[in-house]
Amino acid sequence: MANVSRSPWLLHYDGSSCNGCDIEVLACLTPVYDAERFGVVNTGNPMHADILLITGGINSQNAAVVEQIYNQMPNPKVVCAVGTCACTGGVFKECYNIKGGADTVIPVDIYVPGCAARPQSIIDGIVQAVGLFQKKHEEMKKEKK
Amino acid sequence: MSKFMPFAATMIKNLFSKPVTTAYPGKPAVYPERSRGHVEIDIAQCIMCGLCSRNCPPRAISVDRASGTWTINRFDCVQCGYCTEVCPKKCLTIVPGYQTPGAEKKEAVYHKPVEEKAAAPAGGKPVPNLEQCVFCTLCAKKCPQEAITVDRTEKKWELTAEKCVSCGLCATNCPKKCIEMK
Repeated sequence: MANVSRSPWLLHYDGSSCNGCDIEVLACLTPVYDAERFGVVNTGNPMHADILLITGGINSQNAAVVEQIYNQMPNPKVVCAVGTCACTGGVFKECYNIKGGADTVIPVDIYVPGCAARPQSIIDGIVQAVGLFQKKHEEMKKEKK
Repeated sequence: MSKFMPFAATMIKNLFSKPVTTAYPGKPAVYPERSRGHVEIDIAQCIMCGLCSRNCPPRAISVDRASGTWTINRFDCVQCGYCTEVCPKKCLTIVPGYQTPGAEKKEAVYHKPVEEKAAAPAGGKPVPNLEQCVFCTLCAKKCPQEAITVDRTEKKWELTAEKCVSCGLCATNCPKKCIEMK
């Protein structure tokens, strides 16, 4: 069983996005783009999730929620910021209520740019996230030994 | 047939048809010709006027006139294409193809070639024909560097030559067409 790699579970959280990136993320999980080819499974529970796909910027209302979701996820975990808003805040970064990208409250591992992020970009991001998750998982196993 | 095995026709069709799932990333993605992918710059043509950076909605572009660098944060760009519209030299274009995701938000820096800078006559400075000029101040309002001052009451038209980047926006926007780039 030692050589069996884990199938990471994927959680999608919509910050304060315009829904453009969310629709692209959903498109990635449908049969046409089918991100589940790479071994991920979509879940709705942060306690089951390994990869967090976060779309939209961080505002004062969702900052605490994002932090809580991140803390509820078991280690190791990978955060993938999807879309320009989640990367930097995008066109909303100067709004009074926007703090900026997802990296203002939680550590982000992979940035997927685009407005909205293209399904191809999201697939690239998920593939990178799966690779990084396996790496983190192996490192954690070594530390335990 | 239809009553006995109602799904048989669909099943047989699915067995012999291609999969609906796209082969990406196994096969490279094909983008439509006019899709908005990313901004490319022809840096030799750039006059460093800074109009693109001032009009960029997410402030992804920065222009440093002193060092001759044009910088874009591709993780901040929303591909709206407004920079390509306002560029007076039309040296910015939107081309298909997307920034690949990464662990860092890297900025792309473009340096203006030095020898081009010295040799370029850059289209000259604006010279108005004051007999035709109606002192409407449109040239002063359109100037990206605020190099032109127009006083309507005193009938004065002045150019601060050091500020002028020879973009030619004053000449193209003049309603009387009385500005020449000399």
